Order: sequence, then C-alpha cells, then structure tokens
Amino acid sequence: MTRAATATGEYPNDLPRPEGELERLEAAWELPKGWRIVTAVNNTVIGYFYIATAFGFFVLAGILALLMRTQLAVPDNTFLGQETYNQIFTMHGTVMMFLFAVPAVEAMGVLLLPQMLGARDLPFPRLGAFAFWAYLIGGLVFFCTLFVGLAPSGGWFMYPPLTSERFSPGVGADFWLLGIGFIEISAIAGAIEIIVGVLRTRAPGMTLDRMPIFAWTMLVFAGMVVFAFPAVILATILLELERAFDWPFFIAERGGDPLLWQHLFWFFGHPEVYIIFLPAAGMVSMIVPAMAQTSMVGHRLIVVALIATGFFSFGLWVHHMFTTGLPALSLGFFSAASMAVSVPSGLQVFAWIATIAAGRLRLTAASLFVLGFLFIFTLGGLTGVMVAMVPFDWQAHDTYFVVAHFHYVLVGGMVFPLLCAFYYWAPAFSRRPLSERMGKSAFWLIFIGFNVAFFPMHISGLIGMPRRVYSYPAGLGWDLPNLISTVGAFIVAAGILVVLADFLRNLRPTLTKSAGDVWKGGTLEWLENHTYGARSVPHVDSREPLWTHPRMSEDVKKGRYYLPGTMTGGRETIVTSPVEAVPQYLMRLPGPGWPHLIAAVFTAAFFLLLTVKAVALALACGGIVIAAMIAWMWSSDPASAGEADIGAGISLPTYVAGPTHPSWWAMVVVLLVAGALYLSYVFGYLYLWTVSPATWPTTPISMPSWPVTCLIVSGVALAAATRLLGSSRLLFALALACGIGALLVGLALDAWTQWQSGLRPSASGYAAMVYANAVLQAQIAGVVTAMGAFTLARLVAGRLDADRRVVFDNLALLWGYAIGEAALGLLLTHGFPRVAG
Amino acid sequence: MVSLAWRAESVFRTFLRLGAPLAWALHFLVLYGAEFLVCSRWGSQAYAAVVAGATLAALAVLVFVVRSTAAGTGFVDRVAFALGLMGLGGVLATTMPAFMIPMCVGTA
Repeated sequence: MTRAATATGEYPNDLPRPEGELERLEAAWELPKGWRIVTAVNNTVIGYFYIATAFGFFVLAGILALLMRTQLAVPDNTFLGQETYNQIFTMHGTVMMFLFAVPAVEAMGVLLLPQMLGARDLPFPRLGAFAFWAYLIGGLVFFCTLFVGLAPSGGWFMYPPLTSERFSPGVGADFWLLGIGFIEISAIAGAIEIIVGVLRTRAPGMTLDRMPIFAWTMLVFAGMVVFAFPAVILATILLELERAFDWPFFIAERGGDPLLWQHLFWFFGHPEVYIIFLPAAGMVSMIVPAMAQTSMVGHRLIVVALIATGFFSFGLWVHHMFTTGLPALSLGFFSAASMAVSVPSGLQVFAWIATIAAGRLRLTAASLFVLGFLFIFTLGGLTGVMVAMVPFDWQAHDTYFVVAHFHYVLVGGMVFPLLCAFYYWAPAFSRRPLSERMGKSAFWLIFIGFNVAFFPMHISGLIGMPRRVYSYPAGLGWDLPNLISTVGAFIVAAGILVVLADFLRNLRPTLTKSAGDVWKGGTLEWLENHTYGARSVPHVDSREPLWTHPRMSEDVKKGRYYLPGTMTGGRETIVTSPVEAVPQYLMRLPGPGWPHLIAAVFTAAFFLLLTVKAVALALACGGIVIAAMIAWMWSSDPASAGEADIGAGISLPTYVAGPTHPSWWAMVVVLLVAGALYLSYVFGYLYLWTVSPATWPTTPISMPSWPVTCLIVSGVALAAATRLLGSSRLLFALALACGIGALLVGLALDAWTQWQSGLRPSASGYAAMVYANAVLQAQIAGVVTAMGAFTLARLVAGRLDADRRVVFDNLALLWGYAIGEAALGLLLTHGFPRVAG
Repeated sequence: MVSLAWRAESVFRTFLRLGAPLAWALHFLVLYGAEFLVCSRWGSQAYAAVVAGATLAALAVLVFVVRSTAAGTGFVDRVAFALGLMGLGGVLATTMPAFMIPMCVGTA
C-alpha cells in the first residue's frame, strides 16, 4: 500500500498506460447488440430495466388508486362493482408493496451500489439479472390477472379464513400466494447480491467508517429482507397447502388458527415498512449533504440508528393485531417497542435537519422533494405514535385514519425520496439532467395533491369510515372528505404526469457520456462511469473522496488507480475484506448469457402452471429450470489464472476458496434465509400448540431411532468427504453419495413412520404441522441432492480438486445445515409432544 | 490450535459487535414467546421468574458489551458501544409493561 496515498502525489499505477489497455477493458465489458441486450447482466443495464419496470408498476397501481377514488368520490356510486372494487384495492396494495416499493429500492441499489462502492459490478451479475427477469415476468402475469377477472380480492394481506378455499374459491388467491411467493424469492436473490456486494466489493481503503450511508442502508435493507421475507414465504406455503390439500393450518375448528397467518404475515409486513423506508432514507442522506455542500452531521449516529431501526422493526408486528384479542401484556410489549422505534427514526430526521442547517441548501427540485419528504414523513411518524397506543388503536383500527397514516409514512417515506433520487442522480446516468422547472412544478402538484388527498382521510376515519368499503350512504358526514380526497388524488396524478413528461423530454439513459457531477457530489458514483464502472478503481481515504481529492475524477479516468485494465482478458472486480476493505482477490465475473434468462422464464412458468393445477407441465418447466441453472453454474467457478497485479505492487490471486470467496458468503446468507424460514415454522408449530393443545397427541409415536442413525451417518460422511477431497476421488464420491443418501433415507423414514402411525395431514393443525415439517425438510434435502449431483459431475469432469473446491465448500455448508435442521425437526415433532403431553 | 483460537476470537468479536441488538431481540422473543408457553402451563409466578431472568441476562450482556467497547476508538467499536446504550434503553422499555400489566391474563 506504499503507493496508494494520493495526497502525496503517488498513485498505484504510472502514466502513460500501455497502448490498447482501455480498448481491451471496453471489449471485455461490451454490451450485446440489438435485442440481445436482454442477455446483458451489467448492473447498469439491469438497473435501468429494474427501475423502469418498478416505476411502470407504480403508474399502473396509481391508475387503480384513481379508479378507487373515483368510485368513492360520491355516496352510493356505481362506477365500480363490489367484486371489481375488491380486486382493485387488493391489487393496488399488492402491486405497490411487492411490485413497486421493494423492487424500486432494490433497483436503486443495483444501479448505484457498484458505482458508489468503486466496484466494476456486483459479485453475482447473473443472479441479479435472474432476480430482475423473474420479477418482471412474475409481476406482469400477476397484474394481468386483473384483466381476466382472476385477480385476488382478499386484500393485500390476504387474511384467512376470508382467503381459504371455502370463502375464496377459484384461483385468484392462488395467484396471489404463488405469485407473491415467487416474487419474494426474486427479492431475496437481490438481497443476497447486495449483502455480498456491499461487504466484499468496496474499493480499497473504503472501510466501514467511510462507506456511504446509502450502502449502509442497503446492507440493513438486505439483512432485513433475509430475515423478514421467509416468514411470509412460509405463510404462503402453508395457506397454499391448506387450499390445495386441506391441511388445516388456519382452520380453527380443526386445531389451526387464522391468527397464525396474521403473525407470520406481519412478522414480514411490519419490517417491510422499514425495508422500504431505510433505503429511501439512505438516498436522502446522500442527497442532503450534496445539496448543502457539507458533510452529513452525525454520520456514525445515523449508522447506529439504521442498525437499531432494523432490529427494533422486528418487534413491532403485533401492533397490526391490537384488536385480535391478544393478552394485555403482549400488547404492552409491542406498544413499548412501537414507541421505542421512533427514537432511532427520529435521530435520522434530526441529523438531516442539522445538516441542512449546517450548510447552505440549494433549493433545487431534489431539495424540494427532500423537504416534502421531511414534512410528510414526520406527520406520518406522529400518527404512528398515536396508533402505537393500544386504546387509540382500538378506536382507529381498520378506519381511514390508518389509511391516511400509512400513506403518509409510505408515500412520504419512499415515493418522495425516490422522486428526489431521480432528479438528483439523473445526471450521473443520463446525457442531460432532468428539467428543474418541470421538477419543481411536479413537486408542488404532488405535495399539495397528496395532502389534499390524504389529510381528510384522518377526519373521515375519526368519524367512523371503515377502510375497504366500495360504497357508502349519504348523510354520514363522509361525503365532503371523500370528494376532497378524490380531487387531491387527481392532482397527485397530474404531478406524476409531469414527472413522466420530464422523463420523456429529458432523460437520455447512457453508459458512456453522462451529464456528470452537476451537483458537486462527493461520492464515487459521480466519477465518469461506463459499462465497467470507472476506468480505474480509486483508493478511498475519506467519506467524500471527491471533495478530499478534487483531481480524483481526472486521475481515475487516466487509469492511475487500481485495475486500470483487464488482467485476465475478461470481466473482473476487486474483492476486499469486509471491515477494512483490504484487497484480497480478483474475482472474474460472467458476461452476457441465456441460462439465467431461461431459468427466470421457466421458474415463472413453473409457478403459474402450478397455480392452474397443470402439474405435469409445471414439472417439465421445473426440469428446464434445473438444466438452465446447471448450465449457468457450470462456468461460474473458473480455474486459477495465476496472480494479477492491480497496481501499487499488489498481486491478487485469481482463485480462492473458503470464507475469502464471495460465494461462501452468499451461501451463508442463503442458510440464514433457510434458518429464518424454519424458525418461522417452529414458531407456527409452538403457536398452534398454545391455542389448541387438545389436538396434540397424548401418546406420541415411537422414538425415531432409524432417522437419527441416518442423520449421524450423513454427518460422518460429510466429515469424511471434507477430508477425502483431493486424496481419493473414488472414496470422496462414495462418501458424498452415501451421506446424501442417508439424509434422504432418514427424512423419508420419519415421514413414513408418521404415516404408518395413522396420522394424516388433513386431520388437525398438529398433523398438518408435522407434515409441513417433512415438506420443508424435503425442500432442503432436494437442493442438497441436486448440488451433490452437480459436485459429482464436476469431479468427473476434472473441475473439482483440493484447490478448486468452491462448489464442494458451498455444498458442505448447505449439507451441514440440512442435517442440523433435520435434527431440530425430529426434536420438535418427537420431543415436544413428549414434554408438553 | 492457533487457527482455531483465532477463529473463536473472531466469532466472539463479531457477536460482541452485534451483541446489543441481538440481546434486545432475544429478550423480546423470550418475553413474548414465554408468555404463551409458560403462562398456559405453569402460571404467572413462573412467567414472572422468566421475565426477571431474561431481563437480568439481557442487561448483563448489554453491560458487558458497553464496558468492552467503551474504550475502543475504532468505528466498529464506537457503533457497538452506541448500540449497547440503545439496547439498554430498548430492554428497559420492553420490560416496563411487565411491571404495569397483570401477567398471564387472557392467555390460553
């Protein structure tokens, strides 16, 4: 690192750069031409696609909102029928939350993070592209159900028993359950990419202390996705199993409980609010310092507040369930936590205000959206404290007061920052900035329209208007507030139209010649960017490197910093250590290709065909998905290409294994997802016991000695395979096959024993839970089996040995987890009834 | 063995840095989860013991985190220290309802 200090005038690489270096770099990162652009995996291209799609869904869901407001403008209106209205409000909420809000912030992360972190791309570009295509295809099909009358109508949180087979026959609810489950998998894939990207692909010198706040928020966001989304994925699996096979998880008279759905849904649903808000707050934390031309006040405190908010947000879910009859003390815990979370949230608001006060805020369109955000979000936060108080919530629950509250929080806390981000970052990704005049006009229309639309809803709620009614009689005092709200909604729509017109007139997305750093920002995304990011990767020694080193842009462009070309002839990025950002490894990245796209298309087809009960075709699509994924993965672990000199005398290996490799980190995150899903199941199992202990067996079946033996054999085989890799190929293959076989046999034996005892999954909530355990275990074991077969194939092909072992390392992690989860499952299903019985 | 000791220390430091929010989360989980599981079987006295035990354990962990990171000057230590203080506030806030509201009322 001796030559990394730019302040002394020394640089990692000398000038002039070798002839042809830049051309080779450009060739390695060249985009596919014409319609083949769909095979691109670059973060910039996928980021553009992602944002455009998310904004498209925002407009579609906004149109649905206008239809609803038209219906409610006057009493006894017949503009929309009851069923249509129910479908529209369900789709509005679902599309806004699942197809706009989460993907939009994820999209901003995909687009901005590599540039902001000084990486050439995120570490798993194909995974990011897969996540996008899965989201686009799944989202479009889901939205189109509205046009054929197959849309769900049970509300965006789909409470049973309303959404059970009995009360919601047809496939509308199934489309929601499978469609949303599928889209959540796409969100998790994106989160894995973001976590590993933020922790492992930062520019040399960019320690955690120097990492931009937006990257911090995306890290917390992705961590929350990892722990929150599995709960709703489990809930959708259970409800779909109930609807398809009559497994009574949520049917009270058979030992289930509809409240279990609410617990699982809101364990996801409340963190979801912060999942949406935190990245938006991160954008604001980047924009405010640039607009005020001063460093962020309380940078470290904001990081603390972000992490604390992330954790606290998981202790709030029951505040959506205050009226469900839970014990008073439970309500007290959640009420206290709901108020506690306002402390870290408030910290951020004070830090923004202090930064604005410390600098000189330029009153641009972006700044106006920031001020609008502060005003609206703070109002939403205040009504949030009101509904966190149990007695008030009992009065206001399910009224328009709550509708007003969450729109102030979500639109204020996410839509305003997003529009602000468009106006702020457009010059970094467009040939010209957006129009200030149109931006300011749009702001005033949206700001005024929003308050006209939603403020009266507080009043209509307080005077008793319930949410989700498609019509109301005259004379209840609701007429005028509703009419005003409708007028406001159309003013907001006018503002959005101005934004769209501005996009059409001025936005010219580019990967070569952007308008540049027009706001004089201090972070790395304002370097001149291309398909490969910046020409060279700078050394970072402050939080605002472009302010600290005014010549950095020029020096980066000339190739004076790290990795000014391609060292191996292909796409590469520098992998650094997670805390201190010390260079460790030169990771080779894949280029454009079809497998991830085919996998996304057929994964969507698999879920859709399952929805309409075309099981054989669905299985065929599943087979194609597996084949595409094998093709995708086969080239993803290239052999070492020796050491690569990135500058400053630093030589990095081009192959590493174990915890240094980003895929090891990705696998650990996958295990956290799997663990969160299984812990949600354990919660559900114990919860059903507390509400219906009578359905639990008084004489449990015999001890599962054979399944336990199989698990022990599998564990021993895993240890043996780890030792044998590199010494004996045959014995290694044998240990692998026997170990995974033992795992499968153990799980099958346990399920068979339960079946032989006469227990049937449709008999009771308990029985359904026992077989749900088998389903979850089978899912993991199935993946282990597929990965084991893949590992053996690589062994046979000579692509796996003691050094080139990343594929096996990842399998070993998942395999060990599967054994642990299976053991926990046995302990739960066999041990707990004995203790509790 | 050196490698093993280094790994153990590394894991310990990671948990130390995330100790505060984890302690808060576990404390919250125990208080809420135990209300159903313990109240339905062993009654309010047992539950009161669980609340007291979990709170003391969480406070002990948080005090340890705060003391261990108070002298640190690095970014990660300062963040862990501040999270420790916030965690203390969080645990106390969460426990407060247990002093005000009757236990095991309304559980199965």
